[in-house]
Amino acid sequence: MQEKRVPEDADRSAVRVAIIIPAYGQPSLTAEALRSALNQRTDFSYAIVVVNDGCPDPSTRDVCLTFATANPGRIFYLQKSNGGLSAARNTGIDFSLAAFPELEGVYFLDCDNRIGPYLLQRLLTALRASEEHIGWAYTDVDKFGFVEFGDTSGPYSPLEHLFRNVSEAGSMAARRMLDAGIRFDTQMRRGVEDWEFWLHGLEMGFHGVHVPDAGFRYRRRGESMLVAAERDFGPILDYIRSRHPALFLPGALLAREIAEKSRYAVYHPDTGRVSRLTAPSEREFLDRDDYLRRLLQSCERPDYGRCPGHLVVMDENLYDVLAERRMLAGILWTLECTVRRATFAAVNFRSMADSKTTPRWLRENILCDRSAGTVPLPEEVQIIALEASVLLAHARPGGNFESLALQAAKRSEGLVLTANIPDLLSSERNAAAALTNLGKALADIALREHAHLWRAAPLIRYRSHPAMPRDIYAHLGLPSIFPCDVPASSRQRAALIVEPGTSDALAAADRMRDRLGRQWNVDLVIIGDEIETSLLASHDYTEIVLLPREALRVLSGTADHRIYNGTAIPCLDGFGSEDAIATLAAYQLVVSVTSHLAHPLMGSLRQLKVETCCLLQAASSHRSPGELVNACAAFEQAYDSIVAEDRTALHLCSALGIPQRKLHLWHDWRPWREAPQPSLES
Amino acid sequence: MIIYAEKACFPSLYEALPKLLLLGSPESVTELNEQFLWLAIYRDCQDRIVLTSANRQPMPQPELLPLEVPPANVWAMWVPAVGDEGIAKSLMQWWAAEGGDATVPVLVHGDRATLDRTLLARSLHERSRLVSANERLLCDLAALRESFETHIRIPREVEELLENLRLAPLRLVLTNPVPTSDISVPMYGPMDRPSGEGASIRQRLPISAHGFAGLDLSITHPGTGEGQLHLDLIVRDEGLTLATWRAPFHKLHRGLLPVRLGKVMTQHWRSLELHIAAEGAGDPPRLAIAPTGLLPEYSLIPAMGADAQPEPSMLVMRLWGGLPGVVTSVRGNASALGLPPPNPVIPIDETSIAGVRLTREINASYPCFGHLGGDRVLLRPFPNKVSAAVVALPAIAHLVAVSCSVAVDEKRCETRKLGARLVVMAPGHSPDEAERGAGALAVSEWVELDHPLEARTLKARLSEPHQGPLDLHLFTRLPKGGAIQHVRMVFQGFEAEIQEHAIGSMSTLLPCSEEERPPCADNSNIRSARWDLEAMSQ
Repeated sequence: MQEKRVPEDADRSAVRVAIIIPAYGQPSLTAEALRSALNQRTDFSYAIVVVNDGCPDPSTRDVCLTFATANPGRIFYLQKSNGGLSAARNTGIDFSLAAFPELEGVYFLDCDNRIGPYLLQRLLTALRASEEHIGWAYTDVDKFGFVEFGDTSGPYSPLEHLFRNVSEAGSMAARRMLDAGIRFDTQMRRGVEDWEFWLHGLEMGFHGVHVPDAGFRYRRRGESMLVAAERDFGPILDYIRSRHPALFLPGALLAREIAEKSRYAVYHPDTGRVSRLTAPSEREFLDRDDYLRRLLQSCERPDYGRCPGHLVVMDENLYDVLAERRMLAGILWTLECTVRRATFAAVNFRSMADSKTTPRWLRENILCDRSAGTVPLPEEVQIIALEASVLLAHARPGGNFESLALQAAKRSEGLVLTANIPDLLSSERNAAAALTNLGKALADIALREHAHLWRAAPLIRYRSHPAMPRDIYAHLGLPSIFPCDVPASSRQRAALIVEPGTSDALAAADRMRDRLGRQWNVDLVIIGDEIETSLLASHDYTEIVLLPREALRVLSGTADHRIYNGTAIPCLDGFGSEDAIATLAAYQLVVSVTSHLAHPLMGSLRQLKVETCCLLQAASSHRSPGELVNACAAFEQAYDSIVAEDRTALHLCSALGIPQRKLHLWHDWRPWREAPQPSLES
Repeated sequence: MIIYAEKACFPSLYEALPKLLLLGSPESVTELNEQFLWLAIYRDCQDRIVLTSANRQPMPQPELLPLEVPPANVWAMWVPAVGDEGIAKSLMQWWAAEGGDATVPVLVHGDRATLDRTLLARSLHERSRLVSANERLLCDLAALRESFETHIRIPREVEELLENLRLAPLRLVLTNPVPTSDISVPMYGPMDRPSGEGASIRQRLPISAHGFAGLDLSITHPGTGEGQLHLDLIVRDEGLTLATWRAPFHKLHRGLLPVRLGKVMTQHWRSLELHIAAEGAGDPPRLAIAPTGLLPEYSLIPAMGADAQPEPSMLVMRLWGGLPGVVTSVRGNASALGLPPPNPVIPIDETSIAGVRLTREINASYPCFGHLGGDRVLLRPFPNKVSAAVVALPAIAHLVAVSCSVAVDEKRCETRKLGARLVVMAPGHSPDEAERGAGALAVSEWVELDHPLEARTLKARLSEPHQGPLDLHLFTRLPKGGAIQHVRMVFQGFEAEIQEHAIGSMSTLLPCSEEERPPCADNSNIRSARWDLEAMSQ
């Protein structure tokens, strides 16, 4: 309320902000919009640019011209042929840039909305105070008519903006963003063009800044709700994603998620601190109480990514050992996959020196107390994982942390996985007790921070929750993707898939790794519950991912293979298949190393723009060359290239109908040198 | 075809002033009418078609901008000479393509008299249009006035019904923790109050205006000397003052000060802020504060120049809500009807509800009892035995009744006459005693659900106000022969009714009137809605 009023005789050369109003129909509502635009209280000059988008109703022109006549030098009126909302806004932008040399920003006001008297002042003040990469200022969406409050508060999260339109059109774009050539997409005439506009800014490196209490009022009527209900968002959002593949390809999404460290909070009972991360390479330490405070805040106010959605309890000592063995990301991923099936997942490591296989996952189900609707925590486990929201549900004074409330939507209640990993340093098997203590500490902090009082406050909470990857990757049809590290360097990521039971598979994978060379970071992905111990330790992979097949099986008795021309091809169940695709989705190259299990996954991976390759090496498989090639031929269309070990296999491939253009002989085959260029085609 | 404009006159092309476009030499035209902006066209040395102001002297090498949109409100394109028809035709085509047919100006061939006749016809047309528009507007206003007078008339029966409904109690929306410190209200002399919001303590309220009925402030020191406490309720994004309260220091004392609106608010403003200052001489009042805890964004902002708080703190407050538009029951609306005013109601907090425990063992292989989150408690009935559970409640000062609702939350349930009961006991009694009502402080009747999905209210009223902790016993029972399938009986909406005078020892403060509101130069343009003053009564 300290803002000063604009001088009426402001020199238009000193105009700092233009309010752009596309006008089409609704003349009386346009009058309301214009009136609210004229009532701005600012300490700078501003202009109003009305763009009549070829409205056939002459009253639109009459109303706009009436206001323009009564406010010379304040309102400018442009009438153009109908080209849609985006084109009208672009016309307003171009006019403003040409007419007002001192322009610092433009505000987009739709002709049926209104703005509070301090909106321009507060948005421009925020832009002026921002760093250079801030491209726009946005505010909450206070809907009137059918009342609703769109709370867009909290720090701007680029990751959240990719799956939720947090910036309405009623925002102010800074001059620097307009100078970068960012305009509305005139092809978009069915709505949501504002989201595309801001995402265009995001793609060019700009971020938004939220401004509270600015006073943007969005008219919500039965008609607009009907339009929203009838609009088919799917194709529109697909179009936006196709326009900005650099934002939406799995690798790009993952890179942002890794940077935000928003997936796992790993509590270390031995050091009392918490690691916040998505991938091990980008890790932040938090004080335990700081984490717990974040967790409590996460369900009261929007702040996307500040509190991870998964909670893992694991000694830091064990964390470091697993990281050193390049198994940490894989173990965390296995736990995440398990938590999709169960209220909690726990892991125990054994070190049986005489065992010939590793990790040898075994599974034990923990059953719940049905009468109480709770599931008890297991005793003596080294790692325990759950969704953070489960712990939150117990965060009240006197809350019981020896058992957890059952998540009814989950297929299993609690799963304990046991893995044999030789020579693993022993660590305390106190994860469940540590979780109980963590829960008690959470309850103490909740009491200290008056969390139960804030819980009762009538706040808008639809954006308030710990960050879960399912929000980010839902458009890919996946609940998450494996956070294979996306390096800042130009090196690309490849995954080699092997499955147990193939005596020389790891040797073949090793040769493939060498063939790929230093341009590639190569991960080994094992789909199965165990693999030979002696072969695992010597290989130089960036990460070793173990995806237990049997231990995570949800349904028993379902068909686990299909027959193609006499060859049995094993299949994963629904969950297993989803896990496997999610594991491989962010790689540039995925190579099946004589794995039958990998074949059915490749079609989905191709859709995700992953390059797919099949290595056929009979020596590394217990199957005959004929079986290997026949199984590959069943899925040949899903592969970009098929590499045969020798000429005999090559001829066999050709004979079974695999196209020549895909076939390569091992000695001649060269891996891709560059990452595939993202395509605009969906 | 590309049309250019001189940059100097570019913005004026889109102002609303009517324009005339001259295709020919401006020198040949005398008397350029000042009611119009006269535009002229020429070809520059690069053979570009350039639009300029006919009133301006031509510049040697003007900066040019290509036009994407034709100029606004051009009444006519005048071609006085015979040789310029070609360019006129091209121009008209460009105009229609870029601006649409409706924007194309009238083409006038001939002398000045011809142009004047055209302009006269257009002027008369415009006049006619404006007369029509004005007449429509007058009719709209008349219809609106008429509808206010005639159509929005509430029948007396409905008014009576509303008066009864208006006895709905105030409900506690939010309270904050025990005070840990206090803060002095900034105080100014009558003439030296600085302008602007920095002169006040500012406290953001975590509630929207819709349903807001008022608040209680905790006063630790009432202030001495001659002075007044000033409170303003502000909508921050609109700069709107919703209500102003004043309280002389001598009317204040230590304890809770009930600050109420005359009616529960109906508007939907979101960004409510309470501004607090004092005016006069002497010691200003002090208000209790408490740590903000989890959400520091609701911390108070001290007045300019005041010491910052060592940790994020907020005023100790209790926020009250009610039915929008309903009087807050402090003005005697109820007494006018001969009814006692309804007591305020406090929701029983989730922490207490979550501590619910079974008092009679149940053996079942499916969920039959438990806290379901929020304030919901599941207690399934079983044949031949009344199911029982208890919630331990902390002391609630001046408690006079406890209530909750009960219903089945499983749509497939078809069992009727399911029974539920609420019994309030002092701590330490068995469920059997509670069921018999032996020594009970309050008992509800057994309520039977005629339809399992329709909620019924259970209310246990105490014979006299209670101050200490107590046990809330919950019972459910199955009717004889009733099917046991899907009978998920859920209690929820637990509330405690307290005596009105328990809120505060001071009289209720109501908003002051427009006349009594202090002048505020800074807010001269701020729209305000204010309520009549009701003098503070002892």
